Amino acid sequence: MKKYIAGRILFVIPIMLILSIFTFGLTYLSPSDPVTLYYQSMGTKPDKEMVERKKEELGLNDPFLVQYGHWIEKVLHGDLGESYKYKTSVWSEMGKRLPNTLILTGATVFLTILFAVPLGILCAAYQNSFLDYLLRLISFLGVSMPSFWVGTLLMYAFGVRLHLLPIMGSGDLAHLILPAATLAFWMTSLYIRRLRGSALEEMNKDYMIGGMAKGFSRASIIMKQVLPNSLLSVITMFGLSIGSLLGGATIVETIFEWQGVGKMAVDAISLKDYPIIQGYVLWMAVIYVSINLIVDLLYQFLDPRIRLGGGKS
Amino acid sequence: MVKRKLITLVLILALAGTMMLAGCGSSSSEDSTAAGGQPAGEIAQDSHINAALYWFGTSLDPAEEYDGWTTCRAGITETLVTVDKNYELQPLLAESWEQKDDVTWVMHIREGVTFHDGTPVDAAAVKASFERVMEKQERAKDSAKIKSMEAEGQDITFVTEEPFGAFLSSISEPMYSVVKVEDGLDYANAPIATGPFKVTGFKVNETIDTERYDGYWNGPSSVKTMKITCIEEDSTRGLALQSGEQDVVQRVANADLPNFQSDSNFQVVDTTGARVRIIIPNMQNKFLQDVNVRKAIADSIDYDSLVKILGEGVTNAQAPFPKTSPYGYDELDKQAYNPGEAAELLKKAGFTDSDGNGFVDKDGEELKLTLTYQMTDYTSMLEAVQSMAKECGINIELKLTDSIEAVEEKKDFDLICTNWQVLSTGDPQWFLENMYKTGAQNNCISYSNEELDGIINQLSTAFEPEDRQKLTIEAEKILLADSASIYLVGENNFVLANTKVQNITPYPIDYYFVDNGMGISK
Repeated sequence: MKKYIAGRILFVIPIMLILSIFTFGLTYLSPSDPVTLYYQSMGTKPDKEMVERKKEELGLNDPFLVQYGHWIEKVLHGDLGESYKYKTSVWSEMGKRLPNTLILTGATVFLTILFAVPLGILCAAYQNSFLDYLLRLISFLGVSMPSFWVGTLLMYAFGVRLHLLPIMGSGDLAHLILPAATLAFWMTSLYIRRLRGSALEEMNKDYMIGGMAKGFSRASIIMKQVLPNSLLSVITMFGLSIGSLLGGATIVETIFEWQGVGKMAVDAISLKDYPIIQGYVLWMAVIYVSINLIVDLLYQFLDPRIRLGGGKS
Repeated sequence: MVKRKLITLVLILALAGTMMLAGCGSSSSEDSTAAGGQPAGEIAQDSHINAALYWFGTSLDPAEEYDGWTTCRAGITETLVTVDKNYELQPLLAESWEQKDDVTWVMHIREGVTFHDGTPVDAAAVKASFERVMEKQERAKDSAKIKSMEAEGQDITFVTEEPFGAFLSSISEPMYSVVKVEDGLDYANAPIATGPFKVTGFKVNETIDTERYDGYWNGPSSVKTMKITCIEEDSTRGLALQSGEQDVVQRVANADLPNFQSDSNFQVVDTTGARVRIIIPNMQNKFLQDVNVRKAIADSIDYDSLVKILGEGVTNAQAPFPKTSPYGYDELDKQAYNPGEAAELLKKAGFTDSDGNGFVDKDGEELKLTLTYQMTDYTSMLEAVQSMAKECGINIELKLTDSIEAVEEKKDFDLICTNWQVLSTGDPQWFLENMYKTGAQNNCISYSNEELDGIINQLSTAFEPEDRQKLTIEAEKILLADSASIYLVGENNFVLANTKVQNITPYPIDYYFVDNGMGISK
């Protein structure tokens, strides 16, 4: 088991290497350079000599392999470089942003579990009832509406009209509610539909009839058998959703001015801030590899059928 | 039983929803009847203002990158001279100046100006600040062409490397803001400067907290504290103003402007800015070498319709410099919509529609031009230009690029649409010199006109505002006669606020925003 986990963790190294070459290559290939883009973002026409001097200083005129080599060398020494835009180390910029992203992810996951699990199961238990239709309609809207639209509507309703919550910013609980609700609305809708589907599938299985024949109530079978079994089938997908949230919900972070890693990554991409982009890609690699590992390990505990090393079948 | 309970719950929720909507409706009708309109009344003392900008730098050190723009917007730092709303130079920290010869300027620093820590500002302090920015900032090294400085009492003498008529306006760039220079000062987070507000807190990319500086030389502001927030997203900035979170903001999404203009709870202060969207023709293109073709393209565009298509955010250009500037907008023979003349000009250039496909041709070759651009928000404007040109038989193909600089560098284009800050620091010389002078580094269209080069050279030695105006108008006439560019529209600067905010000055240069006059009514 330990060997398996160690292997999976080591697996992250080649993934990071390949990813970094790809992102480095792609950003290198596109025609504009970070220095010009930075000045353009200020709305000014940069002086060509100045751009050249700056590019030379940042080593941007070196060939691809030399630039990549410099970067790898630094990374091996634990230095992710310095952001062109923020003029601070990538570590410190990520360090500042990551807590915000973690908080937003945590709140979204909490809200999603809080609403999606009971509502999804309710939909299945009362299939084709009014409640089922209503929740299906709401969740259909939830998955179809783009997050910037939901976010803007929430800002308008709770900020402009009701004056209950601040529209933008990050910091305290009040600032967290709207962005978390925007993300959770989409995620909850998605998982209500997923859970309903998998719960219905479980309820069609023989153990349901068997249980009822033995005199167990329908509710108790749903709670004790159907719910855990249907959760099992959405765990992988839930893991990936958490992964994408940890990568930063770019659009939501942007419209709510939430200072998370998603907004940082988009800003970095638009300005070709290579060190930040690379740092972000590494972070994403770590997230996905660890989440997949956690999900796999969870399955081993939750589902004896796929336990490693041959569990009792 | 459970079913009935659920239905009741749903009904309650639905009812609550309806009530909420009804609540929204009534508050909306309240809004529209609320007293508002143009600001008036007495100014409250010791007030607080929440203001939002669309961009922050990464520090508050004016010597870094463009961070001086933020400190200038926030009323923290000031320069020796400033540019007012009519693009005219006005004294600020320098009370007066005298030009000794073509390269020597003596500026008298105002008595009684103090830094935020109370120390007086003299010529030596100004010199130290200039030396610091010229050492740290690439742009500062050559933009004002300063060769040497000498400080004596309140008088500072600048010697420029060569005669430079735009010297005064160039030192109005916010990077030349005067800050206290001393070892151990935290320039990035709390520069000690001379503006009406001093910094009390700074969070990169988030907020700047400021407090009134009571010793401000031009009288302290009525506003005691300000919180300046960075809201990059245009629509969020608009919503933050609507919700009351912000009192005054710079710019919102163009599409949102009519909402604010028609709402009596808000005021929209706008002015024609100094940024113009321009189409530049590559003079090396065999069709565009002919001035008749360039002129025909300019004549084919219905400028008034362009402004209508783009909505509130822009205003007519049709000439190099905005109509609010002192550069003879009204007396110029401006570019105008004239399809009849366009047809004549094309005929004169030898183009006819010989195959009847709607597009003109010459020697069997169709007049087909590629118009390259980078800003995606220009698409609707350029599609209109494309269809207007088509009406006159000119085939324009649009091409979106992700680096206009690369296209310019390779001269791989027929037409380019881009924008220029035509009156950088309020003066036309920089734009004319960089864009149109023969061989200039940004003259990617290979434009060359000896007469214009002569005028640009004369601008360097023209020091009186009237002489500079006259020369600039001459230059404009040449550019328009040559159709060296097509001046589509000028971008407006907007400040939006609730009606409590008083005395907002509409500055055409958008690095001016907060000043000591801005206040809140009682």
